[in-house]
Amino acid sequence: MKIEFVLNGKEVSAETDPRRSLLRVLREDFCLTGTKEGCGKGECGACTVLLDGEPVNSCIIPAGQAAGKTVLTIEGLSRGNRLHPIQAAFIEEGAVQCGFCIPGMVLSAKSLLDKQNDPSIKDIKKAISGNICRCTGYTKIIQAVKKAAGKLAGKKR
Amino acid sequence: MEIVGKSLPRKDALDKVTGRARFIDDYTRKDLLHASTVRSPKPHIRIISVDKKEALSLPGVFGVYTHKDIPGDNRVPFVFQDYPFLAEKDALFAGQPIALVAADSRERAQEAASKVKIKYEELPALFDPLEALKPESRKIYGKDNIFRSYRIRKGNINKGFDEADVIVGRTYTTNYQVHGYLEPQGMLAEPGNEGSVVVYGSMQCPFYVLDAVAAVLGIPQSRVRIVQATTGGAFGGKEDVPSIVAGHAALLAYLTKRPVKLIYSREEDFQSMSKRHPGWVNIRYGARRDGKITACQVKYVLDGGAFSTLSPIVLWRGTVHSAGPYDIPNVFVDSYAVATHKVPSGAYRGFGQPQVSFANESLIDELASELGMDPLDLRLKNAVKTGSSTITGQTVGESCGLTEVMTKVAKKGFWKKSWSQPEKKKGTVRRGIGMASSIYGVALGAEGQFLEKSTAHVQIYKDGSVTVAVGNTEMGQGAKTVLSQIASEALGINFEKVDVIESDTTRIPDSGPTVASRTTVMCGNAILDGCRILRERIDPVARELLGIRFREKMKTSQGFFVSEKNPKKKIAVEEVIKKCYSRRVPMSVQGFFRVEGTTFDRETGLGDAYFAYTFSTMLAEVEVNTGTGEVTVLRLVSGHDIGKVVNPQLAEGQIQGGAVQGLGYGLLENLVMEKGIILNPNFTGYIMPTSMDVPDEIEPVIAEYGCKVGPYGAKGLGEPPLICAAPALANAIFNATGIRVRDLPVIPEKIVLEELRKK
Amino acid sequence: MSREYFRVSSAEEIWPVVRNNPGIKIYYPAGGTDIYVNYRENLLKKPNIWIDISAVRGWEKITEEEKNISIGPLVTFAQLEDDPLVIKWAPALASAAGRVGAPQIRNRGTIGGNVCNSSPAGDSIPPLTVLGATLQLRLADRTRAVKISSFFTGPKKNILENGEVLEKILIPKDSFNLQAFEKMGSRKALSISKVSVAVAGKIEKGIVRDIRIACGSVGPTVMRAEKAESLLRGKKLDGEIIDQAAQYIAGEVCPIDDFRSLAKYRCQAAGSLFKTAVGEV
Repeated sequence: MKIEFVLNGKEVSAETDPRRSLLRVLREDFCLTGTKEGCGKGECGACTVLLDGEPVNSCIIPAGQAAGKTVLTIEGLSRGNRLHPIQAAFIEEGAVQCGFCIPGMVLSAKSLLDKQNDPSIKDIKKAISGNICRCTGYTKIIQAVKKAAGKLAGKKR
Repeated sequence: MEIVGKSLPRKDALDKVTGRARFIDDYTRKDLLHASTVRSPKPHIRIISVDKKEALSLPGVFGVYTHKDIPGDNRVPFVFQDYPFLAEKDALFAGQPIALVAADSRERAQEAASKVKIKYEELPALFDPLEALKPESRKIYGKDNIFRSYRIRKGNINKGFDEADVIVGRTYTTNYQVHGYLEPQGMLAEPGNEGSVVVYGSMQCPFYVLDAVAAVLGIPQSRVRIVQATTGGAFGGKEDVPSIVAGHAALLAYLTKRPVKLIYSREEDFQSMSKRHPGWVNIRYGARRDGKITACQVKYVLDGGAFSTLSPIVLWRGTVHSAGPYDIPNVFVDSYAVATHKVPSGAYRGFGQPQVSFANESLIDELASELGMDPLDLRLKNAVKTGSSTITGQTVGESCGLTEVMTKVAKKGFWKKSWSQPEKKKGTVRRGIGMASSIYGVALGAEGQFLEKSTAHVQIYKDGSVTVAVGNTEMGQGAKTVLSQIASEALGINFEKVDVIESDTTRIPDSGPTVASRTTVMCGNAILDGCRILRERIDPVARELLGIRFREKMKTSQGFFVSEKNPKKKIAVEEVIKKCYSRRVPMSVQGFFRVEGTTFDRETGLGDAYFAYTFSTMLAEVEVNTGTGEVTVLRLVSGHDIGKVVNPQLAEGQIQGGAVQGLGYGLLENLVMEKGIILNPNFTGYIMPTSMDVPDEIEPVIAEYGCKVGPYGAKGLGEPPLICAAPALANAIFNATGIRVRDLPVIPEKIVLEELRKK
Repeated sequence: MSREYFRVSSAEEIWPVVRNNPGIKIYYPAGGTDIYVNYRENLLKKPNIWIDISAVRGWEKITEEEKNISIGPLVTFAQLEDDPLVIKWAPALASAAGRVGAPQIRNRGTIGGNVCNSSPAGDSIPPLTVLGATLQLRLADRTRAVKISSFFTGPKKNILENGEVLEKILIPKDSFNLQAFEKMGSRKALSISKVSVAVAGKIEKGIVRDIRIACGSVGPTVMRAEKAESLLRGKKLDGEIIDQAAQYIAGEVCPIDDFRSLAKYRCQAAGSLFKTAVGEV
C-alpha cells in the first residue's frame, strides 16, 4: 500500500505493508534511526514520535494510520547544527546518560512545551510519565524541561 | 584545579540529543542476515533431537545451527567454564540457547526459530536454593550444588553474644532484579579479512567479548576485533552475558560468511539474560544497652541459577559487606552461592550488596526498636571511622566520611524533627522517615586482584589535541567525560581538545572490566601515569621556550604554560607541542596502574579486602495509604563520601539514577517466576519506576574525604547510590505504619495483608 | 496485503467490505493499543481482516443531545480527559481517562476500543457502568441499543457479533452530584489497574438518595457492588456507614490471584478505594 504523509516537514510516501509498525518504517525505509525500539509493546516510550503534534508510541502504530498525518521524529527537531532549546537544555542540565530514552523524552517534552509556557513540576512529570528512563532517576530531565520552558519563553518575548 | 571538579558538559551528549548516536540496531549492512535463537522451553530437559526440516523449508532462511557447528570451544569463558554457547545433551534452564537461525529478515528468523522442533524428555527440576543446599537434593552443579562458599571468622562470636544485653535475629528475602536497560542486548558480527571476525555491539567489557569470540571460533585472539557501539544502559547486565550474544553472532557470521545481526526482543532478554541474584539472609545482631554492637552473625544464600557465571564473585562482595558499615569486634559469616534450574543470575549494580544490605540495615532498625533508640543514634554509635576495624579486620584509613555523610543527610532530611515512633501515628494515610547506611569497597578487591590493572594510551597530536584510549567503556555513566577531564587537567590541555576514543579492541589496551565502580580510579590512574611521562618530556621544552629555569615554578592554566612568578610569561600549549614534534620528542605513551596489597584469607575471611571504601547514607520520607498499601516516596536524600568529585553534575546523575533503581528494587520490581518460567517477562508486568513514582528531586549530598590511591583523591560511585534505597524505604514504611516487611519488593499487597494479619 | 487491510473514511464504507469477507474474523483497529499489541504477539484469530476505522468521519465527536451525551467510538482518552461536556456530565469518566496509561497511550487509546476489548481492567468501563451508559451497535443495516450492563459476558468477551461495530456511546444526563473514579495500578503511571472503583450518587442534605458502585479488575467482568449500594441507599453518608459499605464491597467482589496481584488484596483495596472515592481519606 502507498502511504503518504508529512515527515519532518517534508511530504513523503512509503510503499509497504500497512500493518508494519510506523517505527520500523521510519527506521528501515527512511533510515531515521533516532527513534528507538525498547520493548515493542508501547510500554517504555523509547519509540515516541509526534503524530499531528501529539506524542505516541510508534512501535504499536500500523504505518497505514500515518496516512495524511504529520510525523515529527528527533531528527526533525534540530536544524543542521542548531539545536532546539529543549536539546540544548538537556545537555546543559546533565539530563543525558546512556541516551536511549532521550529522543522519545525530548519529543514528549516538546509536545508539553508547545502547549504550556510555564509547566509546573507536576505537569512535567505527567508529560514524561510514558517515557521510562533507567539511568537518570528523572531529576535532571525534569530540570532540563523546566529550563527549556524558560528558554522558549525568552525566545517568544 | 581548573578541570577536575567542574561540571563540564558530557562529551557524547550532542549525538544523543540529536538522535545521531548509533546503537547497535542502528547499524546495517547491504547483505545483512538476521539471527534468532531457539531456546529450551522447560527448566530441565534431556535433548533427544533437534529437527530443522520445517524451519529450513521456510523462505528466506539461510540455515539452522547447533553446537555441532561450533568450530572452537563450546564453553563460554566465564569464571568457571560450565556454560555452553549452545546446549548439547541437556538444558538446565528455561530459555537456555539450543540452536540458532539465520534468515534474511528478523521476522523470518523468528518464525523459523519457532518452527525448529526440539524433541526432549522433561526431567525433574530444582528451584529453591535452600532445598538445593540439602544433602539429599538433586545435584545440578558438583557434589553439593554450591558454586562457591565463603566464611568470615572475626573474633569470638559466642563471647560477643554473651556480652550483649539485647539480641535480635531475623530472616530477610529479596527477589530478582532485572536490569531493564532500555536498549536490549544486541550484536552485529561480520567476517573480516584473512579469517578474522569483527563484532560490534552493546557491551561493558569488550575484552571479555573478545575472549568469547576467539574461543567459540577457535581462532587466535589477534584475529578478533570487538567494537563497542553506543550502549543504551548496562548496570552489570552487559558485563558477561554479551559474550553469549556475541559468540552466537560471530558463529553465524563465520558459518554463513555474511554479516549477521542479532538483537534480542525484550521478552527474550528477560527470559535468558542475567539478573540480580535472589537472596536469603538470616542475620543476628547483639548489642549492649547503650547501643554498642558486640556481635553479628550472618548466613547468606544467593540463588545462582543454572550456571555459575559471576556467582562466586558476587557472593564474595556480599559476604565482606554483610554486617554493614559498623565497627563490630565479633562477626561470623557463612555464605553460599547455589545452583538451581533457573536463568543464571549475575552482575547488577551493587553486586551482592543490595540483598544483604536490605537485611542488615532493616535489622539495625529492628535492633533500635528493641533498644528504644533512635536508629540514627544507633548508627552513629557504631559507624566505622578512621582507625576502626572492618568486618574483615582491615583498619579503616583516613578516607572515611561516614559520620559526616550520616549527619549531613539526617540534617537535610529533618530527621530529628520528623522522626517519631510509629505507634504515635494515626489515620489511613501516614508519613514516616527511614534511613540506611553502607560501606562499599571500591574496585575488584582482594579476590579480584588478578584482574586489577589498567593500561591507558595517551597520544598528543601535532595541533595539541589529545586522544586517550582505555579498555573501560562508556555506558551512560560518563566515563568518557570524567577520564577526559583527568587527562585534560594532568596535561594542561583544554578539555575541548581531549577525547577518549571509541572502544575498539584493536585500538585500546585492556584495562580490566568496566565494573565494580573502578573506572575512575583504575583508568584515571593509568591516564595520570601516562600524562606524567608526557609532561616529563614536554615541560623542559616549555621552560626552554619561556626562558624559565629549572627551579622556577611553572604551571598550566587555560591552555597555556605560565610562569608562576611572572604570569605575563606564558606560551600556548600548542606551540610547545609543535616544538616537541619538530624535536622528535615521542608524543604518545602508555600509562599503567596496578593495585598491590589487598589480601583475603579464605580460611578466616580476614584481610585488607579493598584499597579504598565509599561510604553512603540514604534518608527516605514516605507517605503510606494503609488501606490500599500505596506508597508515595516524598523525599530521597542520598549522601556519599566519594573522595573527590571529578564532575559534580555527572556524580549527581549517578546518585539520582542509582537511587531510583534502588526505589524500584525496594517497592515495585517483582519478577514472578513459577517452576522456572517467568510469568511477566516484559515491561507491562515487570514494573520499573516512571517519573510519577519518584520524588520531584533526588537530593544528593557529597562529602570528599580524599583517598590516597585515587586520582586527585577520587573513589568510586557507580554502585553505592543503589544500595541503601530498599532498606531506607522499608524502614520508612515501618516508621509510618508499624508494619515491617522483610521480603522485597515491598509491594502494596504485602503491606495490606500484614495490616490485616495484625488486626 | 491490501486484501487483508482496508482503510475506510466513512461508516458506510465498512459494510461492503464486511459483506465481501464472510466467515473471516473482522478486527476494527482504532488506536491499535490493544489490537496491534496482540497482532505483534501472534494472538489474533486467523484468518482475519483489518478494517481500519480510525479515519471514519464523525466518530471522533462528543455532542450534547437532549437527554444524553453522545460519545463517538474514536474519542481518545486524551479527549475525554479535557472535554467540557464529559467533565460536566461524566466527571468519573474524565477522571478515569486521565489515569489510563500515559500520554502516548491516552493519545491513541479510544473509548470504543476500551469497551470492545472488554478487559476486566478497562478503565472506562466502571464509570460507564455507574452512569448507566447505552451502547449503540451496528451490523450493516441492523442497529441495536444495548445497556452496558448487558454487554460483557466474560474476560475479553462481549455480545458483539463478527463484523458488528460500536458506533456510539450514550450517557444519560443525570443529576449525580457525587462522581468519582479511583484505581490502584502497579505504579503511579503507565499501569493496568489491579483494582478500580467508580461511584455515582445523588446525595441530598447528607442522605444517599441513589448510589451506584462499580468495581473493575475484581471479577470476570465489571461488578456492581449491589449489597453495598442497598446498604447505603436512604442512609446518612457518614464515616461509619462508609466503613461498613467498604467491608461489604470487599466481601462482594470475587477477584483472582494472578502475577499482578492477590485476590485478598484486591478485595481489601476495592473497599479502601471506595472510601477514597467518597472522600473519606
